Amino acid sequence: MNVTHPRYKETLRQFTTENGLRCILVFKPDYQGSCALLGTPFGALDLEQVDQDGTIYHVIPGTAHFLEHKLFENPEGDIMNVFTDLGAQVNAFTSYHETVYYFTTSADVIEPLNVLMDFVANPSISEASVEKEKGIIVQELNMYEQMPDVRLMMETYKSLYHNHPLKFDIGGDEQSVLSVSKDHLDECYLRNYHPQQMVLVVATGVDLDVIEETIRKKQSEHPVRSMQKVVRASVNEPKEVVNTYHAITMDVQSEKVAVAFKITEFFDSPLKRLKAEWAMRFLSEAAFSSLNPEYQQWMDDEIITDFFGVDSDFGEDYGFVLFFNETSNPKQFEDFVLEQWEKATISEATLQQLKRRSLGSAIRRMNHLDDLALGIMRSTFEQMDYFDTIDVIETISLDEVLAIKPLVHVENRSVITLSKKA
Amino acid sequence: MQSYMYHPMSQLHIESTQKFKDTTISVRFLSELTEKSATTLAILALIMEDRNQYAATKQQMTQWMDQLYGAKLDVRSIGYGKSNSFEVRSKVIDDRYIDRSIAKEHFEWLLTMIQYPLLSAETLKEAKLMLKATLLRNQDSATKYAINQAFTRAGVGYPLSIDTSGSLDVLDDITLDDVKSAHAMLLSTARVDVFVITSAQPQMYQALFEHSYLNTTRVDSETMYTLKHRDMTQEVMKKELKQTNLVMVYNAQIIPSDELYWPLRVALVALGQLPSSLCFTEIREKRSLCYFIGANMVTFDGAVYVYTGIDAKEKQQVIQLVGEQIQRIIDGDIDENLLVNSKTMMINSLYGMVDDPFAMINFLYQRLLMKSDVHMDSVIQKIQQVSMAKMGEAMASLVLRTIFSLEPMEEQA
Repeated sequence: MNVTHPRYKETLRQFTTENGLRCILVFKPDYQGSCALLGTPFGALDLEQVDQDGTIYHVIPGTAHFLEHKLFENPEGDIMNVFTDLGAQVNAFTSYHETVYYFTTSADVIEPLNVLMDFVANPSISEASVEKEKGIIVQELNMYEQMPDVRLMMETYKSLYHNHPLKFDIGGDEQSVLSVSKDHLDECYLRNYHPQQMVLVVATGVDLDVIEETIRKKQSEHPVRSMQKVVRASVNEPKEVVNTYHAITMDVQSEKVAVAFKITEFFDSPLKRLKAEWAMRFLSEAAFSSLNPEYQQWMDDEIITDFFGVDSDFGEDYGFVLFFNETSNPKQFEDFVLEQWEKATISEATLQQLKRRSLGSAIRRMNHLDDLALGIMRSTFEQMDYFDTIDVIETISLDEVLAIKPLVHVENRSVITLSKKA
Repeated sequence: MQSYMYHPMSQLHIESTQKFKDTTISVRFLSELTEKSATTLAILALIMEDRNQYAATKQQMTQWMDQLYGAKLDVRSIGYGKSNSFEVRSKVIDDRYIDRSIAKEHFEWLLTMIQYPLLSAETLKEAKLMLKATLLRNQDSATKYAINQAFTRAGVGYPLSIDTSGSLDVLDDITLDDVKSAHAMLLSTARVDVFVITSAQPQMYQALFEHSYLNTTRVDSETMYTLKHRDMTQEVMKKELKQTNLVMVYNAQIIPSDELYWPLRVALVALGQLPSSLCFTEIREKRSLCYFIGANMVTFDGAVYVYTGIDAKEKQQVIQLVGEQIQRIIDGDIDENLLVNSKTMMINSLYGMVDDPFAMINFLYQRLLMKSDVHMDSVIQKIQQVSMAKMGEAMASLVLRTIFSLEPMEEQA
C-alpha cells in the first residue's frame, strides 16, 4: 500500500519478500529517471563477527570493499557491461557500515532492476580474477593515499583507536589486499549477503505495482538458503587515545592539523545516536562558525582559514569530535580549539535558526533520487523511519543539545599534523 | 524553459514546475577570460559570498540566509573558451514546505547579494588570503593538478592555459579598484542570463527582473575557438606520490558549431566514459594497469584529454595503449554494440537532466552560447545520426599536443 507523508509529500510503499528481503519503493511522479539501491549492512567495521553459537569469524581488513569489486564479475565478463547495454549506469560503494550496489537510469528500470538483484544474489568469483583485482585495488588505495585530506583522516583514526576497526582504511592496505583469497570472499559473502539482512530501495516515476511485482517475481527465483545470523563482535578498546601527538609529512603545499577528541560514552539506540549527532552539529555550528561574532577575528588573526571545520561521528561503540584546519602553527590551533570548546554554548534563538536551516536542507535533499534512496536505506538498517530522522531536527531541545558537551573530555585527544616534507 | 528577452544579451529563462522541493536560481554573466580577469572575478566571488553592504558581518550574512530557511549562495567562475562565466547560484526551499512565502524575498535578496557586495580593503585582503589557500590546496590534489598543468602546457598563448579558479602569479597585484571595475562591468555591460526553476509564479520573477539593474543593454562575449597545431611536447614533474598521474591532451580543432562535434562526443564516450569503453576495458580490466581512466573534452577550446592514475613503470605502455584505442576508432575496429551503447548513454543522460535543475540550466546555457538549437530533440537526433565512419573521421582529427605526467620521486617509483 502506498503511503504519502503528509508533510514531506513523499509516497512510499514498504514490503518484505518471501525470502526476507526488505523493500522500500518511493514514487517520484514527474521524474524521468529511476534509482535502485541494494545494500547489506556489511562494511569495513565488520572485522570480527560472531554467530549465535559464539563462534568468531575474522575478516581481513578491506574484504567488504574487495567483495564489492568482485561481485561485478559474472561468467560472461563484467556485469557493468550488461547495465551499459540496458542504458543504465551501475556502481557500488563500501563504507564503514555498509556495502551498496546501485544503478541509475532514465530508460527502462525493470531489466536493470532484475540484473541488480541477480548479480548481487549470484556471485561468480574465480581465483584468477581475485588475483587480477588485487592490482586494481592497490592502485585505488594509492590514489587515496596521496590525497592529503583522506590521509589526515586515516592518521586521525589510527591515533585515536588501538583496536577498533576504524583504525583500518575501508579498502584495507596493500598487505591485507594481497592476502585476500577467493575462499575468504566466498565465506564473507555467505555470512553477510542473505536477503534477510539486505534492503532494496527503488525511487522511480514508474508505477509501483509494476516494480513490486518485478521484485517479488525475481526474489522467488532465488534459491532460499539458511541464514547464519552474525553480529559484529564487541571490541576491547581502551578509553585512552593511541597517540596524543602524531606528525606526518607529505609533499604538499598546504599544511594541515586535526584535533580529535575521543568519546568513550556510547548511546544504546540509533535514535539517541542520531540526536547526539544533531546536538553536536548544532553546538559546534553555534560555537565555531560565523554565527559566533568572534569568527571574523579568528580569520583576521589567521588562526583559522576557510578550510576550518568540525566533524563528529557517534557509532555503537565509538565516537569522536574532530576539528581540522590548514595552518603551520598547530599548537596555536590546538590552544584555540581548547579555549573555544570551553566557552562553547548555544542560545535558544540560535538553535531555532539552525533548525530552520537544517530542515530546509533536509527537505531539499529529497529532490535527489540517490540521496533520498540512500537516506531511506540507512534509516532502515538502523530500524528507523526516514522521516522520523528528519523530525528529530525540530524536536531536539536546547537541553538535549547542551547535554552533549560533557561527553567530550578534552584531555582525551589526539593532535595530528600533516606538514611539508623538508 | 520559457525565455524572455528584455534587451539584447539580457535574458530571463523560467521553468515552472511543481516537481522540486526548492527554487533554483542561476545568474550568469559572460565576459572575456584573461589570467587577470579570472583572478579578479575569483576574488569577487569570495567577497560576494562573504559579506554585503546590507549584511556587513559574516554573522549577519548567515542570519539573513537562515531567515530564508538556509538559502544557499554559491558564486563561481566557469570557462567557456575565450570567455568566463561568472555564476551566482542559489537554492531556497519551496513555499509549499514552510509556513510563509519566501520566493519573492529570496529573489530580491539574491539581487542584493549581486549588486552590493562589501568591497573594501578588509574584505579584499581576506579574499586574497582565501584564494591563495585554495589555489595552493588545489596543487595537493594530484589528478586535478596534473590536468591543470597539462592544460597550461597545451594551451600556451590560448585561453586553455588559464585556470578560472585564478592565478597565484597575478593574485598579489589585484587591487580593490580592479575588483570594483570588474563588478561594475558585470552589473552594467556583461551579457547576463538568469535561470529560474520554480513552482512560484513566473510573472513575479518577470516583474522583478524587469525593474532590476539586470535589465539593460549588454554586450556578448566570444566563446568558441580552436588551437593552431604545433609540435607535441612532453613533460614530467616529480612529486612525492605513490602513483603517476598521466594526462594526454589532443588538439581536435572541433568545436560545437562543427559537423564533427557530435561524432567526436560519441567517440569520446566509446573511448573512455563507459565501463565498456576501450580504455577502461583494455587498460583497466584486461591489464589491471589503473583504477581510473577517462576521456573528455574541453568543449569550447576544441581540445580533448585522456587522464589516468597508473604505476610509474607502466607509463609508456599506457601511452601506447591509449594511442591504439584511438586508432581503433579511426579504423572502425570496434564493436557496433559499443557505438550503440555510447549513443544510448549520451541520450539517456540528456533525458535524465530534467531531474536535476542545474543540469537543465547548464544544458540550456551551453546551447545558448553555441547559438544552436536549444531543443533537446534536435540534439538527440544529431547523436542518433552518428555513424562509425563519422566517429572515425572525428577521431582522425586528433593531434597529440602534450603528454604531461606527475610522477613519484625515483625511490618511490
